[in-house]
Amino acid sequence: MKNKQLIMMLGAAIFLGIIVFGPALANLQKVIRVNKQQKTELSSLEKKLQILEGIDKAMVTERVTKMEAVFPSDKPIVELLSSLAQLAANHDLSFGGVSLSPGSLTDEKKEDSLADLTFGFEVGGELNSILKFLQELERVAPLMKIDKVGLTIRTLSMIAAKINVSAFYQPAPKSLGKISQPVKLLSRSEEAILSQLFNFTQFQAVLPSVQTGKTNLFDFGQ
Amino acid sequence: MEVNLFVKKIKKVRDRQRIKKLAGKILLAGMLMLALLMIGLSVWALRITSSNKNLEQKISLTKNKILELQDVESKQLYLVSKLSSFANLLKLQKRHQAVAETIFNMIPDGTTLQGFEVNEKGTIDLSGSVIDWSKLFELLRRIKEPAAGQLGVAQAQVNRISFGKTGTINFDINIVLSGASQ
Repeated sequence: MKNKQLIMMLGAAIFLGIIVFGPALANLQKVIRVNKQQKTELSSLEKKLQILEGIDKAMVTERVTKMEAVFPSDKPIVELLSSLAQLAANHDLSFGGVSLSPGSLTDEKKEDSLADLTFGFEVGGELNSILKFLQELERVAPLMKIDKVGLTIRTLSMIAAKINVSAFYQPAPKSLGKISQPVKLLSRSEEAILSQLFNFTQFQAVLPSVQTGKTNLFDFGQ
Repeated sequence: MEVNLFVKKIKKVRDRQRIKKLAGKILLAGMLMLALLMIGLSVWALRITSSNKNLEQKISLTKNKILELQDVESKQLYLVSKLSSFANLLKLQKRHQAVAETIFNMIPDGTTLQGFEVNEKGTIDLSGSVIDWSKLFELLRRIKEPAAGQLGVAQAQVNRISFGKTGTINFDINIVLSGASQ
């Protein structure tokens, strides 16, 4: 009888152990896993917050404004024409004969992909002024590259230059991604590249300033 | 004299009883230990759960702070996303400016440039006219020996030289400058 009791007690102990300890251990394992995950998440979030707090708001805003002027997110048609007309006027040159093909008005390009806008125009005036205009053209915002130049003498002092240029733009990112995604800081060499933004001459373009609808986080204006 | 015939049997029974008692005690102690272990595990689990709640609150607070700085983050992300393309464009532009500067320095006064085009292979198609032979020779000399500080000429080919109606000399020359391709 006693033997049977002992065996029953042992069986009951093992059964209780499995029934009680099994879920308890599983629960403990789960909370430990969650704890580790949360610690990692908090650590990365705190690091991100520290980085964000360390960024100079005024400087980053200034850089973005300049970047948007020099290397815009949309086709810079208005800004381009405005800059060229003002640069030509600064050199006492006539400006006209603009031919451009803006292409699609919708965003057919993939996010973050570089795109260009090619167009031609004509300036007229003295040869020296035209040469100075050509030298300054690639230092004016928005960023552009001379593709083709043709010079024609109309009178001895009057020269016409047909110029084809490409202007570049790149759409801004559409979203910030996950909140835990780290923020990339700029290296010294990247800082040096960004500082070159300020070497570009920027002319004021006349643009509508009223914004309606949903706020776009990457619409920094100019 | 009394002889106990069950001594051995009694001893055997007593031993068995002792073992059973010991086993019972061990079992009881084991169960007690398990109960203590269970309590310990529960306390540990409770502490970790409480720590998780604290962490959750901290995470939520940090996320709110990050959301407050969303404007800065979007600007930083914008700059980083454009930086690589911008750096490449600057390199391209510098090379292009060097090409344009070299070409403009090659052209002597009195030259009319009708076309100056750089194609994708880096070949520069230079066409125009000069007022006399001396200017043409000067142009060819400058192509052969570019000024110091300018890009070197890797290859130059005169495609055409012809006389215009007004006595001018028309030319069409292809030039490949070293370091001008890409």
